[in-house]
Amino acid sequence: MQIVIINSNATELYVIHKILYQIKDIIYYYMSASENVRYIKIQKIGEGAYGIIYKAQDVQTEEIVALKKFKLSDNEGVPSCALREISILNQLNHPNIIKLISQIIINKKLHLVMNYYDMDLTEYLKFNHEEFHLKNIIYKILLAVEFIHNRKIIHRDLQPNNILITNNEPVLIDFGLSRVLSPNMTPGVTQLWYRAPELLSNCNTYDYAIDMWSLGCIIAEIALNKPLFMGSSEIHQLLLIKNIINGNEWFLHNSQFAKLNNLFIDLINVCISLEFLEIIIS
Amino acid sequence: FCKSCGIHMPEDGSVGIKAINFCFPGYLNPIQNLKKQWNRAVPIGSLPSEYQKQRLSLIDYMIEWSEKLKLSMNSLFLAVQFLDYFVSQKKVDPVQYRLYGATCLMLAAKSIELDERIPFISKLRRYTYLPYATLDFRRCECQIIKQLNWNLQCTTLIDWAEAVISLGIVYQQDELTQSENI
Repeated sequence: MQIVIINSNATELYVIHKILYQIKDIIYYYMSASENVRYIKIQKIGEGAYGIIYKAQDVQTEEIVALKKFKLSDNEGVPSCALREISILNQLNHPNIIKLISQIIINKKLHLVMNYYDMDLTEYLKFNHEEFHLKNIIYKILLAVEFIHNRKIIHRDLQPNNILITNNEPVLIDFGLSRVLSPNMTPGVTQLWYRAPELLSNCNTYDYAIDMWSLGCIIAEIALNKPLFMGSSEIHQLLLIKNIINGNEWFLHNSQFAKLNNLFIDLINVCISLEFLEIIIS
Repeated sequence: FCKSCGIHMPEDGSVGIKAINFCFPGYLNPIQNLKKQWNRAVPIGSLPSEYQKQRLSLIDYMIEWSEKLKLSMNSLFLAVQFLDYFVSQKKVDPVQYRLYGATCLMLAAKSIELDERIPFISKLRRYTYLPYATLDFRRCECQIIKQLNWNLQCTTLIDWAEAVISLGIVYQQDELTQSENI
């Protein structure tokens, strides 16, 4: 008797399985359709040269995410910056680097889905913070940058707006300009205030040092609470940088650095290496 | 090892030579970096026989195109690797091999080439004289990207060769370099 029941169950299961198999395509179609409305855009939070960033909510998990929409041009295929950003982010798995959750296509536009954090370093510095938090942030940023450099990748767009803060921990974002190191690269990268002298002088054989320069500027900004060099044009920026050519003396005479530790000034000095500048000027 | 350029200096006093553009600081170990990135080997045995027959002439075409488009050697190697991988994983109509070759070239350029040298589809069509519409290129690009799972930064043979050369594995006493000097 029991055997018969089991048998009938098995056949029923088999029939159900068969039906499911036949309508598999339809199920998949609806699943992919619901995928398209999986994220609901809440508001626009930023716009760059390559795309627009939205704050959005995941319908399935109710999680808040950031959507980065690329301005895809119809004739030229997938933009190179999107290709680079995705392939680089897929390789990087580090607690202080943004995680790419997935990439989806909504209304024929490519979107990147990433974790959402609501504060960047510029805003974070507007409030007063404990010194050890700031130290921790500097240390973690340095670790993250070491991590990407070890993988032969240059970020090329380090600036406080591209460092998000969550629970006093930094997260590096925006790898749209990053690329693998090669002997020949475009000099027009990085925001002006954080641009290294080799980029300002239109050199195209630079290396990891340009990221270190940006880092030096960011570290100084964390300590002084204002950007180190605020140039209004490329020439102005170079002139401002030229002022510190005798690094140590400049740091000693400049009153705003008086409160800082010598070791800290050394750290900034190491990042902002002036070797290249001396070559240009001599 | 030299600290400023990373060249290997053996104890017997022979002098290594290296190209200036492969300099890297001594604390970086290029071989180790490459090992970390070396994540996909192409299963050569499983390439379809039709592709194996056409591969050489196909690569000739790709060399010609990349010269016209002023692409670097690295992009070319990367493109061939993409093509090998794609063909070994997916069935492709042999008639369309050239379309896929051209698209691989574009993808490789997009991932590692200088911005102003990237051939976009319109330029690619003009230079390769292939009788396919823009839509075909785009469809083909999507297929390849999906098959590669968006992982477009792989290490090619030329990267290894560059790394080894930059370590100074070729010495002044070697016959090869001497004949070049003459």
